[in-house]
Amino acid sequence: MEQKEIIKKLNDRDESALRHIQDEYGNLIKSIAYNLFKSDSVAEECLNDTLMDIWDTIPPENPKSLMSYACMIVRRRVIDRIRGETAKKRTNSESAGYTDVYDELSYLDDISKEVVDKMEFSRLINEYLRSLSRTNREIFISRYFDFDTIDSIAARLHLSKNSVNTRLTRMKNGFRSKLEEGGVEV
Amino acid sequence: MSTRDTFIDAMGIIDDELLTSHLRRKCPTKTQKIQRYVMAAAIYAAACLVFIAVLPLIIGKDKAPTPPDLGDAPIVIETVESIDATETYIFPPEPIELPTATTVFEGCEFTIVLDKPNYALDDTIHVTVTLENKSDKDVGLWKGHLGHFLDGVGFYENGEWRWSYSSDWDKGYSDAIRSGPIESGALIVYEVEFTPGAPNDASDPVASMDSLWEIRADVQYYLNPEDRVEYENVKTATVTIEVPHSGDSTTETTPGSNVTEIDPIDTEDIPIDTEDITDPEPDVNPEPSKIEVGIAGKTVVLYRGSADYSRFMNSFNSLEYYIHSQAELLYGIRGGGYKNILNKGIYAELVYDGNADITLDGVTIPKARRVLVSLGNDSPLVVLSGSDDYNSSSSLVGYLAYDSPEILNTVWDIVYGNNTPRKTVEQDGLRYTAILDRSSYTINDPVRVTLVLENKGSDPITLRRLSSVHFLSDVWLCVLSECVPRIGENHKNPDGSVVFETLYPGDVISYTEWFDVSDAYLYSKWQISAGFSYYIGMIDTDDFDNRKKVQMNIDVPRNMASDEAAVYPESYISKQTTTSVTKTVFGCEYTITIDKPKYEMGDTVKVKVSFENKGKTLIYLGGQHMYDVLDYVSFLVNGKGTFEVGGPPIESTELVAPGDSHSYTVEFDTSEAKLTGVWSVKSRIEFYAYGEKQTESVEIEVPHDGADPTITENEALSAVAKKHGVTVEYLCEREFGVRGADIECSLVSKGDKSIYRVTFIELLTPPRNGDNFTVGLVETPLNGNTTDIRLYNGFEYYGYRYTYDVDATNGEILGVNKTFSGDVEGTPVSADPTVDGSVAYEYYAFFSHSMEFIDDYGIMKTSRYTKNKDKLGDSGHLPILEFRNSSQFTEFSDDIENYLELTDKPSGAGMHNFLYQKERFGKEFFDKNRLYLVGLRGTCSAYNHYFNSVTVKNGKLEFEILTEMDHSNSWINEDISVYVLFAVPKDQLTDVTSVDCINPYSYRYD
Repeated sequence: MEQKEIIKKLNDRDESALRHIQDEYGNLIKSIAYNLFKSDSVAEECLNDTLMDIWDTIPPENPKSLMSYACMIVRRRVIDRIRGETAKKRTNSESAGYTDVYDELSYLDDISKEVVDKMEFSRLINEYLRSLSRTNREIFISRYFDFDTIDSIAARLHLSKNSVNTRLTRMKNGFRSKLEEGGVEV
Repeated sequence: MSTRDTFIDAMGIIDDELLTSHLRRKCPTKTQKIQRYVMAAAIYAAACLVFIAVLPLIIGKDKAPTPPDLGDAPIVIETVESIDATETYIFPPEPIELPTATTVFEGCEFTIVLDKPNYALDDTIHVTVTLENKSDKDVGLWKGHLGHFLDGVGFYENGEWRWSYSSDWDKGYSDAIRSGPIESGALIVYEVEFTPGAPNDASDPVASMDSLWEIRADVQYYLNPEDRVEYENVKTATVTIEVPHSGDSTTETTPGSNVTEIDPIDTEDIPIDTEDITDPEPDVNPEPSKIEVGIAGKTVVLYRGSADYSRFMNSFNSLEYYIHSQAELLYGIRGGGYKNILNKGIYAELVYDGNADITLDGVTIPKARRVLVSLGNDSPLVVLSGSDDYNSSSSLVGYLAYDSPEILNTVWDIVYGNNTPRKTVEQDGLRYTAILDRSSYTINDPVRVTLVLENKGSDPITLRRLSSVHFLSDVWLCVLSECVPRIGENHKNPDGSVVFETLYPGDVISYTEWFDVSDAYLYSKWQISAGFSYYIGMIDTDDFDNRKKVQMNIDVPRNMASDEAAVYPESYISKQTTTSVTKTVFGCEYTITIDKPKYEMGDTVKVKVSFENKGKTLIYLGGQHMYDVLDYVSFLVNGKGTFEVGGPPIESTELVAPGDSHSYTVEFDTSEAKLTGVWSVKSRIEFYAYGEKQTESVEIEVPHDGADPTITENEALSAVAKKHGVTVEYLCEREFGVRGADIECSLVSKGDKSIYRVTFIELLTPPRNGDNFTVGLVETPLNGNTTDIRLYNGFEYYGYRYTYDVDATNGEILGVNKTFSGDVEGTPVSADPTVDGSVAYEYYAFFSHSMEFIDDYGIMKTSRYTKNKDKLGDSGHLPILEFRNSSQFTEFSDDIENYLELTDKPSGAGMHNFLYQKERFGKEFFDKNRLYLVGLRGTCSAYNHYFNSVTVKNGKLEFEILTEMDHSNSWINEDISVYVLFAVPKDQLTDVTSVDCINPYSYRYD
């Protein structure tokens, strides 16, 4: 079913829209959840939460891309969950995917959080992503949005792990430069 | 929330367009999938149709030749009728050996077959990948996307991936991990294409004809297909094949056409040394059988299988990315060049080659050190000190040289240059060494410290750390002027869990941390602190009682010459006038100024201290106290401090940048000074310059005319005592009996004369009616602290304060000042009953602690009630109590005692005071006076009570109560009631039943 039709059903409060979303994007939503938190039950739970969020927010929201919208929601859901568990000092191996990426980003902690807020960060990231080649953009988003492992990125893009690592390292440096261009001292 | 959290959140709201594009590539919708497959199917079907159409022709051409028999086989002639028989006879082609490579794993043959023996740049390489399970068991296959199990096929150039197959970018990536078995005997075939001259991404360069082309295919598998697939258990099998290609891109190489002209393995045309790159088992065992490692001129041979070999390779592999890029950059070797070199065998020589600026990859690293890692004799690789791999280099040599401290030190010399600071701490058989990478640093030099830990003892040592960090990563760089130590750039935040690792005798580990000091102050001292926790023996859980710790500090030398401020000469007096002295300190002017050229005793000396930075370096004033960094100023007599401002050094700071100035003014009252010598004021500061704490002072004389006395202090006192007809001892005793040794005799100046100023109090007897004694209106806070005590005692102090000036040269009394003294202040009121508005009254205060407090604003209510004494006593507040029958002493005292006993139970000092006072009243006093006891309640911490405007008007006693909120005493938590006893002469009162309180609500807040 086309996205327009699904959104129309949501606007009409037709619950069958959720089934269509699940059919179309269910696996994708679960895969993002699973990347972050290696638990089938959590992935399933997050899928349900995401559907509920979509139901609650559309309308009034009218996303351009329902797929992106759903992915953003589930990503936020799972990250919130991991952060909640971290705050309770509960750490577990299921969230290793998140932890790896989190550790990888430690260089950003040199930036004072007062210096750059989320919206400014987002603007810089968007600009930076647009400056990247398609391959690098795929790697960057896969790593930092999807939390894909290096192995899976390499496998999907038919790159060696070394190549992915190297590209990520270069992008990290590039991003630092981008931040500095944006007036952020890194 | 940390910045990386913010980053992660920000990634969650990237542009919809970017995200959608990404997700569509990664996971196409079902509609897109169907469209894609339909299209692929259509292309496939079309290809089949074409193939079927041309099949007869192909069969005709490839058919085995028939011996020419023109007579018997005319039909054949018809098929070639337009072709000369002698020219058209086509010999059967020699069998073409197509390039093939196979890897065997778990009984499966994983094969790549190319479609040509050689390729030109614009040729399309048709690749057939097959996987045949020749074992007798099933093997699980794994893939993470929607594509084929074998679609991990890529085109590599010099070992580096260039393109995936065809243009399958949009091959979807499914959410689910997909797996499936390849059953015993099964065969999977997969075909892809590459065109080296037409890369998928137009922005990518075409392949080079001078480079090594390879096709590499991966398959990921696991052994037990029936098990749940865990990625950790998935293995990868790889098969790689070299793609033969011709340097001449115009060469046509069609299979079956004139194949004899083609030498499929014409190595002369391939610039790459095929011996080097053709590894029969390239991914099975790429490591050489031995490695020769040169360290400081000594060659060590490491054989595969040995621990040292493994250590070396581990370190070497950590250099992989760097070597990879270096090889590409410096020698044009792309991709797996280092692998090729490895396959030749390694000869690694670590050489320090100087200290020069190096530009690499467009980036200049100033004064970079570098280590040459010679891989073979002709391909040295450079590891720059600015690179991550520089650390690995030092680790590498550390691994190899740990046996010999001598070699190790030599190696450090090579890696870091001679004379770099290092420090070693030995404890429990552990040798812990910190080595800096430069002999001195500017703020442009990252500070790198390599920590080497060797277990030289005979016991295993268990190291303890928080996870996610290295065992030796508890390293900090402290800049003296900063409160917070710096975290190294290599540091990772630990997650809190504890990890142990055993360091066996002979083991060595190392860790390199580096710090960015670009924003540090060069003048501040830098120091690196490093430490770690450990246990002796092997344990797997924390045993806090036995945990041990090693701590080490190593100073980081700074290159002062890099500061353009250069080195200033020692401080010197640069300006001096009668009222100011300036000292130049590190280019700064440190000045002390007084406000007059000459002073008399009792004058106020205004002192201004200023610090003006006219130099070129930052000065950091500090180490003073919390108020002002310049206010440590003393008033000195004969060089000895008499009084001073400024407290003990507690951290306070002020940064004075070039061009900035800082000043402070303080005043000294000289009336307390002695006049026996030279007066001066002196300022002292502490500050940091070039990292060292400096102390400087500047002092100026305070001129005065005082002369030294010729009589002693006791002789001056004798003159005063004589005037009063007593001895000196008596004079002092009277003072001692009441106030302690408060009689004062100071040498002061008056004009150009020295005098002794003698001050003491002559006490009076308690006031009695008829005494010619006036009592001032008491205006003393009654807030329960020592001030109140003084009020009570102040009763005893009633007397006269004498101040005598005695000539210090001859003992002559020059003058005397007599004032009423004690703790009663204010304007004395004459007890003249004939004058309306004048009243003689006695004012006493009794107060009692530990009383129950009513409310915060009780005083206001109390005041209100005093307006009408008939209503006094409401709400538990103390009323004004008139003792009508107070003509009898006993009655009076009993009344008061009874009242107090019944109400507020005065205790402690309050009760004692009252009883004491009672003894001092005489009958006569009561006969003539009417007493009023006014009680106030309040919180002593919050209020000061004032009785103001006490007077008699129209025969009525009037007074005003002021209550002051005294926040300064808010720390006192005691409640208090205040009783004030007024003794009003009866003959002045006509109405003894009415007491008016003026402005009862008057109070003020500060």
